[in-house]
Amino acid sequence: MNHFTFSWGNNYIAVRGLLRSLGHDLATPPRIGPAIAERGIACAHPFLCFSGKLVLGQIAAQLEGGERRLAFMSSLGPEACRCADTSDYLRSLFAEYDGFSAHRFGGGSFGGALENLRSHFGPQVRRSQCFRAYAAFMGKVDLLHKVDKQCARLRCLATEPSRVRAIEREALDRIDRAPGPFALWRISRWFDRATARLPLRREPPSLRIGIVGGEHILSELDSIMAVIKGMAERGILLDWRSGFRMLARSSEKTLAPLKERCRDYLHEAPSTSEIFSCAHALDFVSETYDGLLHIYAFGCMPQTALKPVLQRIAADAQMPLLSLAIGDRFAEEGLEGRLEAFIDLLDARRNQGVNP
Amino acid sequence: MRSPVWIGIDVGSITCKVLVLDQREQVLASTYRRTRGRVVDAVKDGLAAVAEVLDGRRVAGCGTTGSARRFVGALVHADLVTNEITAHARAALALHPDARTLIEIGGEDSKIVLLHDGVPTDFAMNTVCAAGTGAFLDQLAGRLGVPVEDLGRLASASTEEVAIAGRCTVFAESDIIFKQQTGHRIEDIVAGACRALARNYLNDVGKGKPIEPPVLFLGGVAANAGIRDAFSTALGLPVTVPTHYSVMGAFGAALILKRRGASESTMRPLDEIRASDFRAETFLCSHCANACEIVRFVEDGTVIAHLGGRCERWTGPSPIPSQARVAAA
Repeated sequence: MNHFTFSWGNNYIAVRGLLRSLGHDLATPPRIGPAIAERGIACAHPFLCFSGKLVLGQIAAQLEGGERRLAFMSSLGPEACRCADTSDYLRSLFAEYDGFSAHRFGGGSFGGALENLRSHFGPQVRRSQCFRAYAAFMGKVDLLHKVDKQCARLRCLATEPSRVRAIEREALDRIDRAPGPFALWRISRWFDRATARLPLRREPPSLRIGIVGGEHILSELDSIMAVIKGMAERGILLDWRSGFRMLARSSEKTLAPLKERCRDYLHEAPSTSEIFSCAHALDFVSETYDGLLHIYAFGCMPQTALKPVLQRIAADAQMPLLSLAIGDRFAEEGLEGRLEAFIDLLDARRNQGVNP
Repeated sequence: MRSPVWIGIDVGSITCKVLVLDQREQVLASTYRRTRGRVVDAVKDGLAAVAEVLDGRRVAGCGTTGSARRFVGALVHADLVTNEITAHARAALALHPDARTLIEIGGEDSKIVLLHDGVPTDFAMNTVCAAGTGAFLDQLAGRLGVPVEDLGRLASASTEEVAIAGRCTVFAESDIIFKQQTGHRIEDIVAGACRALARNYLNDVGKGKPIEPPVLFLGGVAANAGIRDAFSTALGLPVTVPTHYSVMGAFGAALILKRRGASESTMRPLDEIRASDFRAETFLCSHCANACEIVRFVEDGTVIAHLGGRCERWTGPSPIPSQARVAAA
C-alpha cells in the first residue's frame, strides 16, 4: 500500500515519521506543476482551497498513472476546515478506483487517534504502536517548528545567512531520518550548538514583522515561505507563532483562554485556525511590531473569514497589515512586489517615527 | 560640465513608460507606449523617443519599475529596481505633498495607496480579478468597436443612466450585449461601464479602506474622464488627475534615485542597448519537487544571469543591481 498525504513541508516530514514508526512510508508525491494544478482544479469542488486542489491534482495524477493501492491520510485535529477532513469527499470523488482509500488520522484524544489509525491500517494496530507513532509525529512537529522559526530569526540576525540555510537543510534532513524520540533529542542538541556558534550582527533588526495565517502555508519549508523568509536576509525580523504544531494540540482547554482574549474581534463559533491567528495578531500588536503579514491559501475559508477581523485589529492598533492570498505557486512577481512595497511602507513609517 | 538627468522606466503588463528628470525634478521628456508583448522593443523605442533630450547630458541614474522591472533592469543595467507601489507614491507626493489617497489603475492591475503626512500608511492591489482594471476597458472598447481612447469622450456625452454589471468582465460583456440589443445609446452604455469599473474597484481594491481627500487618480486609465467622474460621484469627493498621471511610476523610479543622490549610473549607453540582442527564456528547475520557474537572461547568445528560484542554485553574478548598492552610493 502506498500512503500519501498533503504535501506540506513540515507536515509531510512529520507524517512520514508517524508512518515509519508503524513500518510504512509515504509515497513521494508527484511534482506540483501547471498540469497537476489544472488537474486538481478540474476535479475539485470550486469552493475547495487552492492547496486542497493541488493535493487532489496529485492524487488524480497517481491514480490515472496506474497507482491502484493508494491510501490518503487527511489532516488531524478538530479544525473546522473544508480541506482538513476530506476523507469522505475523496472516497466519493475517486470511487471508480478500487484500490483507493482515504482516512483521517489524529483525533481529539488518544482513543480517537487510535480509532483513526485502525481505520487506516486495520484493527491489528496496538495501543503501544499508536503511542509510539504519535510520539514520533509530535516530536518531529515540535522540532521542525523550532528549526523553522529559529532559522527565520537567524537569517536576519546572523552575519552569514548562507550558514543558517545550510544548518536548516541539514537539520531537516536529520529530522526526516530520525528513527525516534532519542534521535530527535540529539538533533535538537546539535541544532542548538550549531546555531549558538553563528556570529551575530551588531545592529538590531531594521523592522519586526509578525506573521499570521494558514498553518499549512506557514509550515511550508521551501515554497512560498522561502520567498517570505528571504525578507529576513534584508535585516527584517520575522516572527510567527502559529503552525501545524498548534492545530495538532488544540484541545478546548488550550483554546478557551485564547477565545476569551479574542472575544472583541471573533464571532461566536470561530475555527481553531482563526482563534490562533487572531490571538497571535493581538500579541504582535501588544509587542509593538512594525507590521502584520497575513498569509493564507486562496479559498481557505477560516482564513478568508479572518481577513476582516485582522483588518479591524490593524485599524484599531494603527498597524499596517498586508494580506496575501496565495493562489498560484508560480506567480511570484505579484507576491514579491507586494512584499517590497509593504517593507517600503514600514520603513517610511519607522523613519518618520510613526512606530519607532 | 554636462547637467545630470535621471531616467525612469516603468514596464507593466500592457504599456512601457520612459521619463527623463532633471536636477530641478522637472520632467524633460516622457513617452508612453503599448508593449504589444515585445518588451525589449518597447524599451528600445521608448529610450529612442527621449534620446534627443539626453544628448549632451550625463545620466546620473536609471531606475526601473513595473512588473517587468527586473527584466528591464537587466537589459539597461539599471541602478535601481523598485516596486511600482512605492514608485507611484513617491511621485505623487512630490507633485501633491498633501495627497491622502492614490487610485492607480493599470493595464491588468489596480492599486490603492493611502498616505498620511507624506508617508504611505496602507495599500492594496487587486486580487485575482481584472474587472477593475484597464483590461476591462480594452474588452469594452473591443465589444463596442470603438478605440479605447474614445471611451472617455463617449462617456461624457451620456444623457441617460444605464446600469452595467461590473463584478466580472464576462457578466459585464453579457450585460453590454443585452443593453445594445435593447437599443441603448453607446454613450450611455460606456458611461454605465465606467461606473461599473469604479464600483468594482471600490468594492474590491478599496474595500474597508478609509478614502480621504485629496484623492489623486493615476495610471493610463485616468485619461478616461468617464472613469474619473464615476469615481468622483461614487466617493462624493473631487478626484484630481495630476500632470504626468500616465508615467508616474517612471517618474517615481527616477525621483527615488535623484533624491538618494545617485550621481554615477551603471546604465549602458543607448547605442549599446539598441544594438543588443537581449531576451529572456524560462524553464522549470528539476532539482527538487518545488519545480521553480527560472528566468534565464540571454544576450547575444550568452547566458548572463538567472532570476527566480527558492534556493541559491541559480543565484550568481547578476547585472541586476540591488537597492542597497544605490542607497550606499
